Amino acid sequence: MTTMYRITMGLILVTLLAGTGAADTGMLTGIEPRPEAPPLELGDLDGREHTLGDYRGQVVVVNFWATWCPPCREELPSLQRLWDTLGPEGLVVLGVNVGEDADRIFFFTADYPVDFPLLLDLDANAIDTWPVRGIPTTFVIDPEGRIAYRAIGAREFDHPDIVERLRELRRTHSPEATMPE
Amino acid sequence: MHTDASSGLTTWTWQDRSLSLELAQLLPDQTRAFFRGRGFDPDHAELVASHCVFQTILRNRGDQAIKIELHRWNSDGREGSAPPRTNRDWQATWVQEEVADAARIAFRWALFPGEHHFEPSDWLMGMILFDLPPATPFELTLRWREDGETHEARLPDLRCAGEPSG
Repeated sequence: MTTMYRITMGLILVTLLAGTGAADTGMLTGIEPRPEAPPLELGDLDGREHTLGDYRGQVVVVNFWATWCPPCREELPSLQRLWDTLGPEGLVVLGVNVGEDADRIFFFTADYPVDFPLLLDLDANAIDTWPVRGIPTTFVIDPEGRIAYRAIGAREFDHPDIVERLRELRRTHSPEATMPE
Repeated sequence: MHTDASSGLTTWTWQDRSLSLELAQLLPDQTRAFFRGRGFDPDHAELVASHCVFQTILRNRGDQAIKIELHRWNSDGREGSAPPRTNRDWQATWVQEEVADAARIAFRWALFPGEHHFEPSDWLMGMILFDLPPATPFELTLRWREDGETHEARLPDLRCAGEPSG
C-alpha cells in the first residue's frame, strides 16, 4: 500500500466520518395502513438461506446497508445492542448488505463485530423490490409480515423509545393479546 | 462554513425551520480512490473525479414530510446553470462502457438519491455531483416540497474542491 494511497484513504475517512454527526435517536416513522412486506430470500455469510416468511410471528428489523456507507457503520453497533437486548425475547435483526461480496463483509466485521444474520444482496435485486431510495434504510416488520415502521438514515436502535416500540409491537401481536377473554 | 485545518476542505452548513443541508467538499483524489475501491477502472474513476463532488447530508428537522428532487436544484456560475448529475444520468454511460455490476451498484447507492421523500427525523448522506470542473465557484439553489408548497433557498459562494497544489 503506497503512502499516497494511505493519505488519500485517511482523508476520505476524515471527510466522510466528520459529517455523519449524531444519529437521530428514537424516531421511527409509523406506516399506516401497513403494507405487506416485499419478499426477501437471501443467503447469509455462512451460506444459510433466510426468507422473511421464516420469521412469521416475530418482529423483524430489516436493515439495508453497505460497508462503505458511513451512517450504516455508525448505526451498526446499535443494531447489535438491540439484538442483544431483544433477540432473547424473539426479535430478529437481518442486515441486508447491498452489492458487496462475502469476503469484503467478512473482513469488515473484524472491526464491526455483529452476530445477527448478514444477508448478501450481491446483485442488488432484493433492495429493488423494497421501497428504498438511499441507505441506510430500515424497516420493522410486524409478526403478520407487514411493514410497521421505517427509518431513513441512521438511528440509535437501542434507544429506549425504539426498544419500547418494538416490545409493544410484539405484545400487541402475541397470541395472548389476541386470545378471547 | 468550516474549513478543516488538516485537509483544507470546506464544509458548508445551512438550515432553516424544516431542513438542514451539509455540503462537504471532496477532493478529486478522494473521489478517484473511493470509486477505484468500489471496482471502477482508472478511466471511469477519473471521469467521475473530473466533476465537482460534495458529500451531502440532508435532514428533515421539521414536523412535516418533505420531498426533494435534485433535478429541481441548480448550480449557477460562470459555467452557466445546471442541475446536479444524478445516478440516472450516469447509469446509461456505465452500461454502455460495460462497467462491472458491483461498481455500478455501489455508484448508485453512494450518490444522493435523485428523488426522496423524508419524514420528520429522516436523513441521508450521499454524494452530489455537479457538472463543474474542480475549483469552480458557484451558487446553489435548492428547492423542496413541503405541505403542498415549493420552497427555495440560495447558497452563495460555494466552491468545488480543487486538486491540491504543490
